[in-house]
Amino acid sequence: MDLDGGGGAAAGTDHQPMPVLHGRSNAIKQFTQQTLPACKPVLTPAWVIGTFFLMGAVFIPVGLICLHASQSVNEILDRYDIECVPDGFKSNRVAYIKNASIPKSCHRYLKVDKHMKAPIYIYYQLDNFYQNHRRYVKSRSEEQLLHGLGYNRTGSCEPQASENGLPIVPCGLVAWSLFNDTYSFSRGTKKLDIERKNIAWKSDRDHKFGKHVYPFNFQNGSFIGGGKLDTTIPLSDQEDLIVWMRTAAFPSFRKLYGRIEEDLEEDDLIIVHLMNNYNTYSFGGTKMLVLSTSSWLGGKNSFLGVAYIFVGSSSILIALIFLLLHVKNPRPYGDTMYLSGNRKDISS
Amino acid sequence: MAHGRIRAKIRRSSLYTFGCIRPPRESTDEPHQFRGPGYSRQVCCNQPQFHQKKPLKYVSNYISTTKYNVITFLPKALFEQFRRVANVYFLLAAALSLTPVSPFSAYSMIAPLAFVIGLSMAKEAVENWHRFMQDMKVNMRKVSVHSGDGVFSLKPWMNIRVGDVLKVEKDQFFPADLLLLSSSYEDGICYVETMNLDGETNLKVKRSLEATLTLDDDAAFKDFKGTIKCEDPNPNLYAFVGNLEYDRQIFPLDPSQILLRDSKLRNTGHVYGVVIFSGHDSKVMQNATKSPSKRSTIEKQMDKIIYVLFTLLVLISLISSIGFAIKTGYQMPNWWYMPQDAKKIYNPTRPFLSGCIHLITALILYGYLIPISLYVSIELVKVLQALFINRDIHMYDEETGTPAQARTSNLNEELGMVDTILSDKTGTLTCNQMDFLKCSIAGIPYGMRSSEVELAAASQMAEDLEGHGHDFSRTGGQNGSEIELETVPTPKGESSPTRIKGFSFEDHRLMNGNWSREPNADVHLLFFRVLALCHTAIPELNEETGTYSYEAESPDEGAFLVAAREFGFEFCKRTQSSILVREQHYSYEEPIEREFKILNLLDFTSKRKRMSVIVQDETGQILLLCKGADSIIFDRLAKNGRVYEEATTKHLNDYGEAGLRTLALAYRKLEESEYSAWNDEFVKAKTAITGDREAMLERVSDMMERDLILIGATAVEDKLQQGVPQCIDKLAQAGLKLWVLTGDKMETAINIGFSCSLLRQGMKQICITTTVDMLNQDSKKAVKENIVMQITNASQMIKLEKDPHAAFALIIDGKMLSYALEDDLKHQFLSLAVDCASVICCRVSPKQKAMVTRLVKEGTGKTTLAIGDGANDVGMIQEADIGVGISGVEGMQAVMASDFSIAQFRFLERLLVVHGHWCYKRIAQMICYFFYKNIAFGLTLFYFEAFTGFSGQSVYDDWYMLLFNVVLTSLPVIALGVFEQDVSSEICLQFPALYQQGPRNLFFDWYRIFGWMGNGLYCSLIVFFLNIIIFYDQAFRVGGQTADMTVVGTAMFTCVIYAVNCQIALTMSHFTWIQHFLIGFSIIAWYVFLILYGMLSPELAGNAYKIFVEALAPAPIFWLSTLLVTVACNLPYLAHISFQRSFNPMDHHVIQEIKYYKKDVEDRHMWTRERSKARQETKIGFSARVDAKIRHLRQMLQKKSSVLSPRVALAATRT
Repeated sequence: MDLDGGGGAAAGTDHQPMPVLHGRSNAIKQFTQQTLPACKPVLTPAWVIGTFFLMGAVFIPVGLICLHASQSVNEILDRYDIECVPDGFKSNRVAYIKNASIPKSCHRYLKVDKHMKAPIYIYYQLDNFYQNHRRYVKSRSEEQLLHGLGYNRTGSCEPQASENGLPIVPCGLVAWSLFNDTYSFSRGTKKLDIERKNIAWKSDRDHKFGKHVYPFNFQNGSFIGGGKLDTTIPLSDQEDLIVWMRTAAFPSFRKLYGRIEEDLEEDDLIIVHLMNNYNTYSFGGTKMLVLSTSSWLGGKNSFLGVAYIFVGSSSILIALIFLLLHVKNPRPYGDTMYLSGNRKDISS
Repeated sequence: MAHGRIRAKIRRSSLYTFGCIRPPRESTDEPHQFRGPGYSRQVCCNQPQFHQKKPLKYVSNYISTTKYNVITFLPKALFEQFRRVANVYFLLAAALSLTPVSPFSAYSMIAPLAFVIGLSMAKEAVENWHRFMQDMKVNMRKVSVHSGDGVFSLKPWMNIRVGDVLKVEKDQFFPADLLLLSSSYEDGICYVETMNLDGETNLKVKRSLEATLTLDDDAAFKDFKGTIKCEDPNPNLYAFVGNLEYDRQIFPLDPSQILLRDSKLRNTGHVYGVVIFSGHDSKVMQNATKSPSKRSTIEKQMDKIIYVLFTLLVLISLISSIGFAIKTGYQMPNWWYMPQDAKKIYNPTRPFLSGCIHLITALILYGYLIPISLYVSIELVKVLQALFINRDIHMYDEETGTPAQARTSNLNEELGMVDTILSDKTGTLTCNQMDFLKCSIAGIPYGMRSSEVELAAASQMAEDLEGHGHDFSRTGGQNGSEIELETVPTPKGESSPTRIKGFSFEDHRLMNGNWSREPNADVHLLFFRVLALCHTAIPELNEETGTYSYEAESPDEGAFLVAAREFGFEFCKRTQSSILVREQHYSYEEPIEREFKILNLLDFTSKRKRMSVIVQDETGQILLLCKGADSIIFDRLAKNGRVYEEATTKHLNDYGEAGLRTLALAYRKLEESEYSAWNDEFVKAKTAITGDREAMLERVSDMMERDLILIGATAVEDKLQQGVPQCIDKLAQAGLKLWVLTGDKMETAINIGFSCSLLRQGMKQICITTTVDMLNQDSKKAVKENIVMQITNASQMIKLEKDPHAAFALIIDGKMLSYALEDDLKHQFLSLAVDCASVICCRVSPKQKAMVTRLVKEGTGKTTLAIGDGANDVGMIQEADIGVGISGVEGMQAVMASDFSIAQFRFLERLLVVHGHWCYKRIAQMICYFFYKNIAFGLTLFYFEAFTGFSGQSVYDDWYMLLFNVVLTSLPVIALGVFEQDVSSEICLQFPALYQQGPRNLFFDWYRIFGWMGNGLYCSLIVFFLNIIIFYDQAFRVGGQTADMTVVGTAMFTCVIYAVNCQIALTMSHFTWIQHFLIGFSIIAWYVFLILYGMLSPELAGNAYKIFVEALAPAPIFWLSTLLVTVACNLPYLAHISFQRSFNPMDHHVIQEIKYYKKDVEDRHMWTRERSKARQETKIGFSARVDAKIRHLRQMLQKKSSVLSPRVALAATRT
């Protein structure tokens, strides 16, 4: 009678076979016994002070370089939405912009403060325009932009989804509210050429907007939004639209309009002929024209440089404080006086 | 079975004077009269077919301890999952994600939830399966069952039915509650070990009815029929009421005929019994309570954090909704580019409704504040931690081949927070094996070997002296001759290969007959005769070796008999009335057999605390030989019997200090006439039919056991389990309190207290015991008053104690405990107990164990751990915050009910101090980090909201968000939870004081939690605002392009990934290749994902198409902003931890530094010194004992030196 003991349950049920540990499975043993070789860095004063100094030493020069890059960029800003409203309509700008019979052309004079090296980028800047609103962002169809009428599930585009039973191409609020102010520039009497190609991402032109998709019924309805599109040009070549369709992250944003491929000299006077078509008046937005050169870092923004310098100098400050405290009140590292058991003795 | 047959000729019942007294009721022989409900059970013996249909259909003997079965699994397990409030939230969010309200696509909400829930449920299923398999092992055990016509055949336990007649063989467990019909002894007696039920190791005698004695072989059951009417199933182990109707007669039944499931048949060849209660009806199963689902302190606290986060979530959702309502109501009508929409979500004419709907959107959107993967990550981490516990080779018992096992993995971190350990004694602290170690005969001590406690204390003392080093030797040198340090006993290597079980005595003066050359050889002879004669054991000849082994009722008795054998007094035969001893004197060549006539045997009861035999030797001399507790024996000594009293008392104290169990031996010579006069009276008492027979017998026995002459004393070592004193010492140094709860009697418990160093000489013992006659039921009030008085006195004494080193021990008896545990007294009792350094509760029932555990758990609010090995510990194991079962011994109930099982008590040290410490810190850090990372990420979504007119648009792509918790940040944090070590395991053990970081909860207090949350808030601010200012409106690269939402979102997300992954690198202090790999992997995986995602077709990728390759990677500002934001996020934390370490270091910091600078190698002396210092001040454990001894020596030193010269005295005080 051989019973393996156990009252409620048999003994030996839990006898897992313990793995026999040979040399070859040494790694497994180290793993299961939690004795894998490990590096155990300790924040010694030398390390801490060294790290903070090093950070300062790297960040401040980087900050200075960034600041320099930002300073090398020249920018001309011109807000024109108010000045371009004729005097009679100053009090009722919305009526002015909605009245198609009033001519919208307008002239602006820009003075170049500093020499601006080509290429000079032309931006329009809108303010208080919620391109990032959830309703607005979702109101588009990536598939339709690529396939045109080959794709007709345009539910997400409501209320600009279909017209007379056919889907609007391109559908949705984003396309419908396309920016439609236009600019042309002249220096003195000579007209400045604006290059309006290659302002959108190449991948957008090549892969996201259909080469055979034509906006045949765009802005045909009773409800006219922003700009219209040339129905003979496929979407892939409508770079204004492509730029516009990249919704901005903030209610205030700039979008690329074109490039001037010649240098502008100091004290040049630039005449801007613009068509003030786009309605920013009803929601209290502003419109601005921006001419800017660019550096390797992009446009004019000294924040990055300043932030780098700030972080770098705080690192150095911390390092100095640490050094000072350490010199004044050093704690020998690994001194057992500081074990809690021993400290109790000191205090009591 | 030859032995069984031979022995069967003895009527063992006649040996006993007290043990087998039939209850007085029986003499009247009236059957019980049952009235009312509760006594409806009817069992048709040997006719199990009657029990197949109602109303006599009772539950089968199949037992099941599983939580789910196939059908209930899905609903029950799902219910369990959705009891977590966070999961309900995510379920709702997932359901709502199917509506247009949701800011995300449905798959990004449902997939993670399904993954998380599925994983948790799979884990439950696996655990349940293991339980099922264990149940099946029990259910499939075989026992022989009467299958008709007097034939018995083997059947699995689960197929046994009520009414079956079983034949249970020696050393088998009873498969159900049985009525004993007959045994291999002629008089129907059998011995039962009930260790699994109540933890008592003494064998219990059960006795069948006279009427069924004839059913003593298989064939007799051919026509056996009977009916039992008895009480319904109940959990009371010690009561049974019923009647047996047999042979047209009715016999009353009482508990002495009932064999309970899970107790074991001992010293008896076989028994026949009929099943009364089967399966879950059996008393032991009725006692089993449903194992409660336990949650760790950290997890409970984590729930609170989740509530905090929920509040935050609701708050920002409300802000967001109000903002949205205002924007929609006042501004949206002006936004011509978003024309009027009939849909409710954006309805400017009803902004309040839109706001309400938006609230739901916001609640879903900001759900990233609540980490969905937290539960599943923690569960995964705990399973891996449990794997490490299971695989730890230092907790693997080679003898039994049992590894440690974490049976429920959700309490790992609780192991690091234990404050009080409640331990069972037998089988947990001790092996329940007695070794005869020392003795004192005629005032001379014998026995050279040291007890384990002495050895342990000696080695500790040696180490401490080294630590206290020179100052002691300097001052001690001058007085060296006067003050002798305790001679350090060296452990004798186990040189003798033929170690005899139960006998560790080593002294050549007594061995090989040398005792006869000692002075007082006649006393020695008597001493050995007492050992060989005064017992109730049976010898069993091992035919191969020709030696005898003994089946004794208690292991002590066994040890005495083995000792007697080794001294040359071999007990070799017992007949009905005599004992044969083979005596070997040095003078004889051959052993001579002497026969002693046993005239009377006055057996041991816990009340009498002594046992005597009256024997007549071959010369006709009548002797009373007595052994018993020293206090009892010393009271009964004759005037001329006290010759050795003083010396023996001193030895007894020494033995007690060395943790040994002692008994005093005495004898008395009787004249023939004196004896026969007494015997007449004794026989009269024995045959008395009145109810007070027992009292009469006792009185008569008492008359005889007087005027004794002291021979000496024995010291038996209740063998502690390996390493128990060291383990207790280490646990005490780690600041843990240890309570011992034992079913044993008080003396035994105190002895073990000494041997475990829970008690020591000089410790003030507060014994709360019965002083009022408890038999008197009316005195309950008096008893209570008495307890109150004892408790108040004791508390007063503790309060008035001035000596800081004074230690108190509380010892309380089970009966008093039952009063002390009542509602009005328990807090008083607890506060007294907490003030005492050690607490020992004796004679406690399983229920009381559980109640004490609950009292400690709820009264102190600290974490309790209960450890035990038997079924009697199950209640306590289930009640405690953590239950630990000792595996590898027979009987698995404790293990089945436990959360962790280990093979030996000593593994508890490693389980707590190493694994507990690690797991606690790992889980605490992991949870803090989890909240940090989700706050850092989730709040950026909120800030962005403010810029989108609170419309619920997320700046990140759905896919980014899906991956954030699941892939991009989950692996390093799992590595943190599984592999982090602040210090290595050796150092954990060397510096047990480090453990206190857990019970003090230094790593998961609100200060730290809010610190981490604040860090998350800071990070979110830095990530968001730095990024938006950098990418605001100007061109972000040389081509003049401005940043759209996808670019900003991707750049911001990159910063988040870097910031949180660098943060975890700063949090960790232990980097193996795994951590390096996983952190690196997380960051690289993000770029890889970006590239791959950008390569998808533009319909799927949307604006993220080629985002990295075309737009971001060539832009230096992207890389520069990542660097800047990452550094800015982590700079304050780095500064914080640097300052903390430098100016307010914690223990593990210092130790890490010592290791880092390799100071321990350079300065070994410092290392040993610190190790010996780095422990909590203890009042228990042998270290405390050594400390007390050293203090004592110092005091002596001071006294002496102040007499010698004032200068030396000065030096001494300075030490």
